[in-house]
Amino acid sequence: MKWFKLGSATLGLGVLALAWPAFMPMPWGHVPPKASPPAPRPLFDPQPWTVVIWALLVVALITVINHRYKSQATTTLPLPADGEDTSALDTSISDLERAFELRAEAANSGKMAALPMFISLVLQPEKSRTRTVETVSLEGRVIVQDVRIEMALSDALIDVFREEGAGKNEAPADEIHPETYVPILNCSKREMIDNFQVRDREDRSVDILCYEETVQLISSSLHLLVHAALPKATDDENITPDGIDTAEALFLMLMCSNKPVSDKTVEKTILAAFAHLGLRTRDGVESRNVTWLREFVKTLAHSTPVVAIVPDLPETRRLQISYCRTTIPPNKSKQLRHWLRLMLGLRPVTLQMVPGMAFNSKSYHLQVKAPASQYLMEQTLRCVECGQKLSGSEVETDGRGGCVHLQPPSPRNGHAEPYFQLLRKRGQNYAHLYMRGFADLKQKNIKISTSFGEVPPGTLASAVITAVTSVLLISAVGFAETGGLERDSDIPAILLVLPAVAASWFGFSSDTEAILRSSLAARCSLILGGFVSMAASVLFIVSGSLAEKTGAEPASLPPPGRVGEPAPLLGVEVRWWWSVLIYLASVNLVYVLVQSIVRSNAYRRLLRKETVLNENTVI
Amino acid sequence: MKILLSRGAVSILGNDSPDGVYVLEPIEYVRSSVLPDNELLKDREAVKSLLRETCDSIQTRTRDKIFGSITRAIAEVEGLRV
Repeated sequence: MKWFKLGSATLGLGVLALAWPAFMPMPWGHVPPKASPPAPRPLFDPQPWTVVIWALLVVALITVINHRYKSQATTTLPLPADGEDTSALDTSISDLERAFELRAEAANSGKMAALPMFISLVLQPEKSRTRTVETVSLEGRVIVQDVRIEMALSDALIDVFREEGAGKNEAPADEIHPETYVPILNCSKREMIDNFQVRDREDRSVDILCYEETVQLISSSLHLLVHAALPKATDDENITPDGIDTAEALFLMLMCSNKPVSDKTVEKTILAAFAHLGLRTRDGVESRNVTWLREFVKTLAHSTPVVAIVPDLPETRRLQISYCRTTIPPNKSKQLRHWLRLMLGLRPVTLQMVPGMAFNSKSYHLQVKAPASQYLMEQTLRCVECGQKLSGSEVETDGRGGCVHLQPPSPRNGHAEPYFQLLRKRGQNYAHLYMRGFADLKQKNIKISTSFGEVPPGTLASAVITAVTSVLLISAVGFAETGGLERDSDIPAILLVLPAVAASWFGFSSDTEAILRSSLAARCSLILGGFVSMAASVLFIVSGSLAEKTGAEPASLPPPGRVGEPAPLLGVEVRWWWSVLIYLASVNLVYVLVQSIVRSNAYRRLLRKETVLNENTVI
Repeated sequence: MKILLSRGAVSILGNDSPDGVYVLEPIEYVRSSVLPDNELLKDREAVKSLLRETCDSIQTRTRDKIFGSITRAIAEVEGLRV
């Protein structure tokens, strides 16, 4: 970094030092004769070779500065999905010892009773989550994600929990209300949760387990699952308590790692641990307990459970827990159009996401909310692999391009599942997706894409007004100047530049806080209108100065028959440069007017849509 | 579309070339296949018995024995790297 700073400083000084001799005359380089009156020195006196050297220095400076910022913005590449990097298994001996100590502490407390429920909620969240409502709000540069989970806990697990939990206390079982540990989220290890808050049904803050307490539950649950998976009757003398602990240490290395672990490393480590436990898959068949042990390790090798503490479990055994977090979505632009949008200070209009929570819940609602100044333009559910748009009846059909979708399952209780529906577009500023029965889907490569547009008239109206003003003023001044406008006032020059001032005001002061600023047409129109207005103002001043210098009337410059001969425009003769400016301003006006009319009509059509009963999936 | 046979995480949208598109990565880990139900957890007595067995097993382990197992596990991981 020091070299970058030194290099950029040196190059910057060089550019500054060479700029004067490259373009300006040196003070001592032009000495007028004493006899002659002092003549004005030229403002610019470019020296070709010096200019070339100066330009090379500028390019080098830009390259160095750009490289510096680029190197700062480079992110660490994630582990390859099929890599064999085992550095993630660098869990220290003291960490593993602590995990075993925590396990021993759990065995001496009432926490063991919570393990079956913990395991069940980690591995099969879809069995307990009856409804998940996810709201994604686009607020400034960040996205706020609110999730509300409604759960119905298993009676069998609750009873075990209460009876065994009470067994560690001397108080009557009816009066014991041990804490319930409810995993509400298996957070991927590559994620860092930002601004995370958990609340209950009454909007009270809910505590979550710290890392050490979570490790305690994990290591205790692991031991329980290992014991459940061990062969009941075996003569294998290789299965010893030491071997079991070695296997658990291997498992814990995967699960306690803070880094994501590649699938191959997970598989190899699990196989090594299974050898200590005498667990061998015969003809690809393994017992349910072994499968659950394998899945428990794999799930927690890739994710960390966020466990809420519920002090009083209601008699209904139903829970409602909400959490929210903020995230900053990445935005990559490769296409010229998107590059142009970013350069003009605009932002994407589309949000894509995998509705992953639909696969962990019986029913799922997703709302993607844009600011009030936006309306929903497009909402589609697509296959991640082939990009094919899915509809209510096509989720399961064969796709194109070799993409095979699952076949539709037979209707259950008269309801075909999986089922999804999108709320019809009626000019609202949010998309609403409802999904049901996706937990059992084997193919889970589904994404939702939502696009938003600016509610008309918005900045398009500002652009239209600016364009109209620009056309009127340029036409008026052009006609007047050609007709012999007196040059005793600068008011026309000031008037001509007004649209440029308006363009900068309308274009860059509006919706600065919105994450989805969409009107590329309006922004381009404002910029073009501003440039044309400024050009007209400059032209008016320059042409007036030339007229005064030559002593000719502006209206008579240049003489007919040469370049600049007055050209007829709508029956009125104007100078050719005014014709060019009027033409540009008019094209700009027509373009933005058409855009405004088309978008306003499209929005109005959305507002007039009527409800259609039994409609198919809304697109 | 590839049907994932192994139980791995659902692929994210990273390879989707999201030009000019905000991509919200899923926060929650999702298996790509369904886990079969475990009858053991539906049997209260079996679960209680297993819990007691687990507790007893944990309490019989001494710190020295555990340390030896951890050392062996770490040596084994070193072997996996070779």
